[in-house]
Amino acid sequence: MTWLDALRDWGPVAALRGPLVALFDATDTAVLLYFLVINTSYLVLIVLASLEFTHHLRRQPFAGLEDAASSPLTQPISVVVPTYNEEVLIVPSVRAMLALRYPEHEVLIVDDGSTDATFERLAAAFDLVAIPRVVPQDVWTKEGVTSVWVPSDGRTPLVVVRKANSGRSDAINVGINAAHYPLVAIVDADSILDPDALLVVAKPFSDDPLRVVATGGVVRAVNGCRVVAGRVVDVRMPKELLARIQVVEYLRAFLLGRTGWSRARSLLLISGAFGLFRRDVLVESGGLDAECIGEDFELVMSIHRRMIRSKRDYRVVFVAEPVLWTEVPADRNVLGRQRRRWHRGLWEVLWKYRGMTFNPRYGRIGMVALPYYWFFELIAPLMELAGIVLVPLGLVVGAVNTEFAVKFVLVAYAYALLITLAALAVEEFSFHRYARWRDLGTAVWASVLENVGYRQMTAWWRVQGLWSALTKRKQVWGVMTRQGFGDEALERTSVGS
Amino acid sequence: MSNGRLLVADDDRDIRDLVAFKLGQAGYEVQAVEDGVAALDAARENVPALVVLDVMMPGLSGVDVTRELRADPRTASVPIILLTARAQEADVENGFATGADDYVVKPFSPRELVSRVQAVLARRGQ
Amino acid sequence: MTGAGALATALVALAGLLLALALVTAAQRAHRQRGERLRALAAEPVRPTLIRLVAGEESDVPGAVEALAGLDSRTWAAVEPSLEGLLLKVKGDAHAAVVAVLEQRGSLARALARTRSRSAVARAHGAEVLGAAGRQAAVEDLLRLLADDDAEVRRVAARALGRIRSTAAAAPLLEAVSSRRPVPPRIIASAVMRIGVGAHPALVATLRDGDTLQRAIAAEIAGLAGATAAVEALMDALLHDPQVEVRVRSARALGRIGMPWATGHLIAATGSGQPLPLRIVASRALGDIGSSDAVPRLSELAADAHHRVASNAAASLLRCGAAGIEALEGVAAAPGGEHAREALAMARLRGIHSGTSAPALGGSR
Repeated sequence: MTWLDALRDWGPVAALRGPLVALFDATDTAVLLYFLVINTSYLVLIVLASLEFTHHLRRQPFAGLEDAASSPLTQPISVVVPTYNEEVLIVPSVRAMLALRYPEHEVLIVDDGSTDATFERLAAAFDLVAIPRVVPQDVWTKEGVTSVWVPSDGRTPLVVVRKANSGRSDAINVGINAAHYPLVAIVDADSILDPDALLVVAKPFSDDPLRVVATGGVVRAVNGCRVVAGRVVDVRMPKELLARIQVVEYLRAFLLGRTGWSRARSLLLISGAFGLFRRDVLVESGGLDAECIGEDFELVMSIHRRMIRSKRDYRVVFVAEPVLWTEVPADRNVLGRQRRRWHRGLWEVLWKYRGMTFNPRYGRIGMVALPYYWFFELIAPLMELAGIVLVPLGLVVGAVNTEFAVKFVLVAYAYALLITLAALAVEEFSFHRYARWRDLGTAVWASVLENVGYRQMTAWWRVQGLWSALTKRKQVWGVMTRQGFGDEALERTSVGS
Repeated sequence: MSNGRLLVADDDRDIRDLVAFKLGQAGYEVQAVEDGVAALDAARENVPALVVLDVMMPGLSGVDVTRELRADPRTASVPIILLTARAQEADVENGFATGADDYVVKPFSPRELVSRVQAVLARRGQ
Repeated sequence: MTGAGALATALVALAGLLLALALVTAAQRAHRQRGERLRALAAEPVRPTLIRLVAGEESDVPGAVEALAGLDSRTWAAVEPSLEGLLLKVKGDAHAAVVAVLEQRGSLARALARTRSRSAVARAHGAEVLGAAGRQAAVEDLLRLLADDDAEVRRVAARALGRIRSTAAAAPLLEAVSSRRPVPPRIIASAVMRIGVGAHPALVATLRDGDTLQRAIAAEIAGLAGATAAVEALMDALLHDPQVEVRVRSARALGRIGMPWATGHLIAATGSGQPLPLRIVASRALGDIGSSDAVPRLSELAADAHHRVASNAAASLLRCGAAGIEALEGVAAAPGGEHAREALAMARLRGIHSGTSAPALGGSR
């Protein structure tokens, strides 16, 4: 008789066995079904995404970006950058944004009441002067504009709008009002755009000008990369395990979560870090919902709802090309806050738009995409967490067959690994931005390690986020502590003074 | 014979090599770099007789480089020719307003570029 | 237990798949890197010849052409993409030299054959090369591709026809904007603009007889191309076209062309009973023309209730000579003159005090 048998005979444990056996018996078919459906859907999305990548890549040489870059008919873009306390990065970021390849664009910095030297750095670098600019109130905003500044040469297409602090969404809404041009790109100040980013995400607007209302592109993790003058010049894997796993996570998320869905014409999410929108559509939708945590998700949902309700033929398009690099949290606490916030946002938006779910009027969005988000994106961490608790418990109590449980867990993790490796393979066949063999090895290893600890940790944070949403606790914005990209041009004094 | 050192900045290797070769043939000593930051560094380290700058370079555009060069007393008077893919009046106007001496629209004729370099240098030499 | 059995099978299958995927990924990487290395190895020694060719010095070209014509097929395969790329980067003698080499190596004949390929990617590639090389002889084939099933092929064909500057392609290009298999307006516009003066008769005809989309795009191109021949038709369209979109684009075009006698028509288009988009564009177009006749009306518009109308009118006044600036200062001093004050502030920054040319800021084109 082993210690385990002794434990199982112990009163309280023995008492648990009955209910647990009943629970497993009642749910095992459902759990198995859930498992099958979620994994099959991943498979379908991967196939869709691969089709999209193949299509996109084979046509890339004839995309005519050069032509678009020099055409007077390419629609001009206002790049709106909500900025709060970004003194370290703001000047090189703005320079890089001004140098983006595009026929006509303005960079519109909305200084959301920064308390550091963000504005002073900008004012010094670009010799800003105040002008009596008239900003229309096309979108309602909490805070108004206090002053508008432009470079003293009167030509550099940079506008700095100052206002009292009222949060990212409200700052973006102020930016939408101040934007001059028919297309508005929303970009975070800390992100790094590829030189062709605007051309790439604007292409659907010129290919299908009557229908396209919003586009987004692939976001990648910048950690570990070499950055010079606000531009990624050498793509590498980061050193920290946490960041490495996120690199792989981003690759997979954009493959599964965006490319596949866009191919199925039911894209629900454009990354908040970078999206391009028609200004009139933003104005019609009333801009961003400042009360909502998942404001980027909310915006796209609001556009979908408005367009479908007014029976317009429209498209929200995802471009399967890396356009933006962002710093992912290397610190566990920061990551936890981010994930709690994301999941809370997911809940808030799904709840706000619950009327669209399973509503045939909203077509694929209502019947497929939204239910998918409810059942898989929202519930998945709960299921995962339940599994983490119940399976070991069932094993201890003897309510589940050990061999079966071990195999089930192995299959589940092997499948997850398969999805991730598929994402790595697609990256290798398409963009292969990670040039070193060592980085490939690191990525595979990170994909394995993701299943041990990281997955469980994020599941826990996501459940926490869901809980705080349901209990309506006050929203807490995650504070991102920046390490900076180690921009090599930043360390020299030559540029920007 | 050498007519003085010229600096060429373009992120497109074909164009960089072509311009460097063509100007080399015309008797100039040429230094070629591939982005705006490198162009600024090179110009500050050793002031060239003339600079040929691509306008659309990632990170720091040709117009930005022009502005920085004009702001620095050592390089304020270096002649600058911009290479641009955009022939729009606003861009041309901006280039001249920032202090460029001439511009050449891409796709360009290598011969024409050399003539313009010679003309700008001759005007400055007077 | 069957459940465990099924799981065991699944586990074995998954392990196999994982291994296969890892191997395929690694193999792809090795294959790609080897290919790149070999191509670079083959192409690098030829590069100086390539540069000599495009540098276009008369004494160098024949030698370079001969050297490239004599390359073995593997080296040529590595060099060909660079040459095709160079076609779009140079013009004049340099361009002609590259075309001569591609001709000699049979690349252009192959490109022509590719326009009949079953693969859309091959058809697009063929069209791209023929366009970049400026092949007049390919116009017929490219016109056929303008109605291709694949949208990307149609776009490439339209761009290619523009690069070839074929006058005969102007009318079909303008029709393609609203055909059953359409080509995006921006691409049509660039192509027709490249064709130049030869396309102007087709523009005028389309402006009078085309459908809504065709008339709108014809008006837009006429403006960008400075087609003075189209001014009469544009003035007609500005006041009488049934579609607002066509009227808006005609207003913009008249501004861009800049004939002072269009001023009266444009002033009429800013009337308070006119559609808002038309008023916005017309108040800007008046500044593009810059006639002092527009000053009284622009002064009223600079204090208009609508943001874009007022801001465009204020910017326009700056460009109507001394009378315009004087009027603008008057508006700025009066109540409701915030747009005028903004325009004056920007003008001071730029050091403009007599309307030299179009300030790019001021937006809403």
